[in-house]
Amino acid sequence: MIPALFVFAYLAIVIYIGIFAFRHAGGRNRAEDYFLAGRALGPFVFLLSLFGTNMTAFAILGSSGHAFANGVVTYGLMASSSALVIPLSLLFVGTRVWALGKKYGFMTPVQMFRDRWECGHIGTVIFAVQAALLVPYIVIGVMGGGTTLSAISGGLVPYWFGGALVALVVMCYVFFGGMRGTAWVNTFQTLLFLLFGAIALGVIGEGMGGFGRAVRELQGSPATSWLLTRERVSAGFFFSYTFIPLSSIAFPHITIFCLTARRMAQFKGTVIFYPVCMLLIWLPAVFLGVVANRAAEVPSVRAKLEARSMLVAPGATLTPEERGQLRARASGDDVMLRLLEGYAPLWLAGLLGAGIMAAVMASDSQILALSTMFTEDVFTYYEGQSRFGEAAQVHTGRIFVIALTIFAYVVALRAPQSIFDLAVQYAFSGYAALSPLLFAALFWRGSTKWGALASTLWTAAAVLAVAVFQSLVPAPGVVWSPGGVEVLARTPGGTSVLGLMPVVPMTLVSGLLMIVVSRLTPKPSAAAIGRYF
Amino acid sequence: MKRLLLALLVVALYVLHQDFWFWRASEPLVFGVLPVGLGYHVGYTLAVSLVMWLLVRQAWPGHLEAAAESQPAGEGSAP
Repeated sequence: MIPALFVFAYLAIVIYIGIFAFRHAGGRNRAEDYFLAGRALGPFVFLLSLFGTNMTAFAILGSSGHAFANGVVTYGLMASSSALVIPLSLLFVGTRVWALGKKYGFMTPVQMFRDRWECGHIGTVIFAVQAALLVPYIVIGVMGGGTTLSAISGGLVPYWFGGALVALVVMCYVFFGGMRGTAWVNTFQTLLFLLFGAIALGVIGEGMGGFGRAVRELQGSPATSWLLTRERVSAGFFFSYTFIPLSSIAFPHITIFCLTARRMAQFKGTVIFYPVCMLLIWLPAVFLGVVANRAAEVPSVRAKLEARSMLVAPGATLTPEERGQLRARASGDDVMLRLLEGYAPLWLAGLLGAGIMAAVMASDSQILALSTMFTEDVFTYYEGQSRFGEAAQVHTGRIFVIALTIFAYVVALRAPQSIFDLAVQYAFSGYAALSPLLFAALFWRGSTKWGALASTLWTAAAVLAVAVFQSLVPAPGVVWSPGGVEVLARTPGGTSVLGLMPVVPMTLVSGLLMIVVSRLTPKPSAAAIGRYF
Repeated sequence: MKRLLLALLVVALYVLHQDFWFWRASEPLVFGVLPVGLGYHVGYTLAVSLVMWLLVRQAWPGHLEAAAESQPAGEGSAP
């Protein structure tokens, strides 16, 4: 329970930061101040907060869990590809979004799309699809909070209570502090995690008798040597993952965050140091996940390894229920916490647990972004502001924060899938497929609102189709292979289309639809195009 | 010409991410700890940071900032 007390203290500090930000704003109810921190974030806060916003429970718990089950490939799949794609998108897309926001007063991507393509209700459709795809990402934060608190307290704090507490704390500081509070908390969280991640690496390494020894032991056993290579991953699957980071700039919380910089020059440091931050967070998370496979002396880790062995044992006859139970026991989402439990002294485990909590609680930005979108793209657009005034705009945003948090919590209690799967299959793939909207709006004069609508509807349909397909078709199995070519298959990890993850065809078809439909439909007025080119 | 070279550099980085040459190898261990495939991607990440520094120096879209700063914040009206 002592570690959990450290986490509770951490949660109290985080709430204080949110309330301090509220006081800093002087209780003003200006929408730009609440939703965008007055477009005045400095370079240090901008870098660390933007980075922290991207690092969710998925990045920390999900990546360790994925590495525990799949090995070192996890780093190449997500970290190094993101280290390339995300800074590039910030440099070429983020700076343009910032400049247009500064010039025309945009607060959301949909506001920009409406202006760029002279559309109204199509903007609302884009909002609806963006919102539907963002909710799973928010749910991840709540699930991560529940998993972490439960693990840190040794089960004394139940999952439902941990999730509720984290949701409540996030709701409080987003409610009071808005973007300024969220950015400050994210900066604090990122610093905390960078610091404690390094300590965790040292402590666990020493506890295991040195990482060199652990890696040699993994190499020496046929059962684990593959974890140090990529031999069980196809080149097509590895390539597919480079499409996932396209989602980052298309996520509304990232696009909106680009509007908060005081000056465009603040992107410079972020673009250059983003890959380094990726390295500092992901390398320990992935590496610890891999070496956990040699931590059988920790009882909870041993139980996971035994469950995995039973799952893959040749000739095992398991019912679907038994298989599901074993998968849940073998899941590595909490493996980093189990390592701390096994190797760190109690007080240090608490401190380090607070560091992990810091990363888990990054759903704040998504909640605020969805609140901003609802307020600006729906409430204000449909004349809420002109009827009720700007103060009502901020109140609406705050009420939406509460409603959304409660909704995410209820879903988190019922969602059965692991954090990693949930994130990748729905939110990340969907947003990657929406990225052509941003590229077309900013770089292609010929794009039209109908092209944007086609891309958006395709994305919604494709995400839905993948979700339905995976819930109806048991894995593994080939579903369609005309002429011996495997076109569509259900894999243990999801779906395979021509050996690629669905995100590849989803994004390519989305881009193709944007091009084809835009060429066939009337262009926006010359005045609208002139504002952008 | 400069733009073309920078674009080629970015494409080269993307290609280098698909390092099929270390696919099945774990030896040698980089710094005695990191399997070679993981060590490669750590080095790759640092190389990306260097290229980003170069891009910021050589391809910074400064004209956007000048255009945006020429007007007071939020002068236009969001639709």
